[in-house]
Amino acid sequence: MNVLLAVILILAAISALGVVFSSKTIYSALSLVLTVALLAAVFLVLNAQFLFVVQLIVYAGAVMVLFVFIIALLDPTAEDRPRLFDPRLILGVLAVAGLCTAVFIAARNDVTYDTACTTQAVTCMHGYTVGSLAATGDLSADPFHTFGFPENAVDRAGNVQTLANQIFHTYVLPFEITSLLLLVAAVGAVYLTRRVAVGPRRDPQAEERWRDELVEGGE
Amino acid sequence: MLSDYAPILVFLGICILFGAGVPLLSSVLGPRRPSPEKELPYESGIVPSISARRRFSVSFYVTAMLFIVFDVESIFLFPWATIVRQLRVFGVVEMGVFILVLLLGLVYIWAKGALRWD
Repeated sequence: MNVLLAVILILAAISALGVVFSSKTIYSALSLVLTVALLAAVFLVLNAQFLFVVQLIVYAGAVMVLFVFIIALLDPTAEDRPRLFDPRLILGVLAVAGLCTAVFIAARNDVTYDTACTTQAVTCMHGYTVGSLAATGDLSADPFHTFGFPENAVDRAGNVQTLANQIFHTYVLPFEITSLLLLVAAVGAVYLTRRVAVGPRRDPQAEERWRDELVEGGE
Repeated sequence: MLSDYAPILVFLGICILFGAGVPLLSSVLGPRRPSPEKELPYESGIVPSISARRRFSVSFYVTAMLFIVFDVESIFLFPWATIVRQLRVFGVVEMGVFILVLLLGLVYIWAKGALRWD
């Protein structure tokens, strides 16, 4: 399984590099589709079937459609790609590298996120002890069964059911707030693209030139 | 457990082989007699009047954005449906509020005429 995971992640890293280094924006978008699909495969290997499907439907499907439409919305002839050794780029690479190193070091050293967590042995997140149930079998350490589900318990209840129980039972308010987030997205899209005066900008001269070229080539 | 997905992997492999193999075969075996008509984007169709490489209408963006919003909404219905019997009335009310909020959004979009294509 680890070998499979490594292969998928290496492929994902390669296609992620393709996103950055592609010569055309649309190729970058297609590389991003591949990256997202490979991350979906990671979810599948990690036994998260629902997330796998969501990743494919929402990210590889809907979000990528939006990305491609935005690329089509921008003028494809006027490509404005950043220079490879832009000082801002170097700064960005350094920032990402630093952040990744920090997260890696933190993860390797069981850094506690919440100081309210008193147990030293287990990692803490959002005030709950991660993996406590699996490690100690102590139910009281994880009153809401937030993390650390025993694998067989998840299999017995069902993967989707366990997730659903978290969304619709433990995290009801965040779930309801999600609807507001979606509402803002929908209203924002409609507001930003409202008709003020002109329709889509067209360049009649360029179209004429292009048509002439095509007819000349065809005859 | 993971070996259950082996048929899908085989299917994916066949798809990739077929998708890559057929164009390759046709480029190797097919005769090559180019003519100006064959070089047109649509060989026996209408000659395109304008370049495809121009900016698209912003209406596509609105449609894509609204699609994402209601796509994500429907994604939430799937896990909800698996435990709606255990949640009983609470589950129905909870999802009702969620859908109502988005329904208000739909009413706004409708009233603004964003669903009309013109």
